[in-house]
Amino acid sequence: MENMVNIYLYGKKYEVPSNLTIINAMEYAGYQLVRGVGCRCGFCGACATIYRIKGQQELKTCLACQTKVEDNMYIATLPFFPLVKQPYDIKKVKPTEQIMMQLYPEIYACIGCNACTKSCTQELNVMQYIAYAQRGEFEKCAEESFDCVMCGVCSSRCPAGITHPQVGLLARRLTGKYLAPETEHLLARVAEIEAGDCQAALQDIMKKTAEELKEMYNNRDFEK
Amino acid sequence: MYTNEMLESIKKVEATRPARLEAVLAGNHPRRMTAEEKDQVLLENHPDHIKSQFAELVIGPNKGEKVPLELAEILQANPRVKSADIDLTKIDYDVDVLIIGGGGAGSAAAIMAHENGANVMIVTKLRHGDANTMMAEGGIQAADKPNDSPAQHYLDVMGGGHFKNIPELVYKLVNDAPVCIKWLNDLGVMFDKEADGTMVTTHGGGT
Ligand code: SF4
Ligand code: SF4
Ligand code: FES
Repeated sequence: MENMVNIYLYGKKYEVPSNLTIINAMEYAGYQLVRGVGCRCGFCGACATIYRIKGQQELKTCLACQTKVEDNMYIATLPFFPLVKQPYDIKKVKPTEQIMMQLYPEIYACIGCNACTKSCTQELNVMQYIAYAQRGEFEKCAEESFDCVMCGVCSSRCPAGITHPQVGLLARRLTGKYLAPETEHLLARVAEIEAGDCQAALQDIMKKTAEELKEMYNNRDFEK
Repeated sequence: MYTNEMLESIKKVEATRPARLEAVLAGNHPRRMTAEEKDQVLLENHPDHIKSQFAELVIGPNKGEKVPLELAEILQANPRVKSADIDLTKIDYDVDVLIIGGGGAGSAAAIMAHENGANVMIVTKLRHGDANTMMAEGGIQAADKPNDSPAQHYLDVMGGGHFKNIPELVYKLVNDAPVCIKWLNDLGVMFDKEADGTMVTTHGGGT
């Protein structure tokens, strides 16, 4: 017999195997999950969940697909955190400090409490990436926030009302478009394609039979 | 966060790791599997190849084709909505293009359609972007380097598809791929690049 623990889903008690994640435990208990779960492997950020362990004070947040159940866990899920996202046209914005001031001015009201960092489900240094955004250091902000899964847990903890994941996303897009070095070989290939220079070889290989292609494929060079 | 069962399994891998590492350091790389060996492993282990995991569709345009059991169950299930309950005299949303799914493909389609003047709506189960594209951060294929070419990419795709692909679609894929990478780059997608802008090449499983 597996080890069982008691958990409370929306206040109702269930006995579930102790090695299950919160998501799996809910399904074990008979819930059919439609909202609030996506990838089940800690990447999409859709499963942000709130819980508290009986006898403790602290209300904790986690990704339900990445967190094992514990004995006497009170669990409440929510479909998503309704965070704000400011609209902008990436072709019109520029990677200057003013852009954060315009779109997400609340980042300048950060009081340095570090609640965001402490709550981050990906153990990112959230307060630090917000500090980089304040200073217009978008490449640093992009690197520091790169693994953010947009779960919104940090924002639910922030006394300044900051939407951290959206600030990080803006910094990453500014970095990708304006600050990262231009890729010459990509531009060259696109120019070749547009000039029709890749056509002859493509038309040629398209005429090959499956047998001929198989022969070529099994003897192809591998890039190391 | 691993369960006890997983920890046991990890120990087994760890126990043999030094020996394998030593072999590799001495220059003895594991040999590439032959095409037949690969097929055998797939046949025995991969759900897409295990015959009992498939059912034949009995209705619809794909009638007679074999699909995974779960898919057959969904495709042949009774619909959740009753057509009698649908009143087309009262339309809540009237759009030119309805896109089902808000991942990379759906979003790209929406942007393109919108730029071309269409009134677009995306429907998606979770938030915009909570989709497979978010998880596929390991790489994206396009022949964008001098030692590569769309024709080479064509061969790789055909091989990967067991030479069953529709050539015209593969042509479209490989010929447009570098253009799409540039499009994504210009939209602000952060690709892994060297300091001089060269794209970092990574090798996917089985390639
Ligand atoms: S930074 Fe915030 S939104 Fe991003 S992963 Fe951490 S807690 Fe989630
Ligand atoms: S939770 Fe908000 S106020 Fe506190 S450090 Fe993080 S960003 Fe600043
Ligand atoms: S379901 Fe995607 S992160 Fe949990």
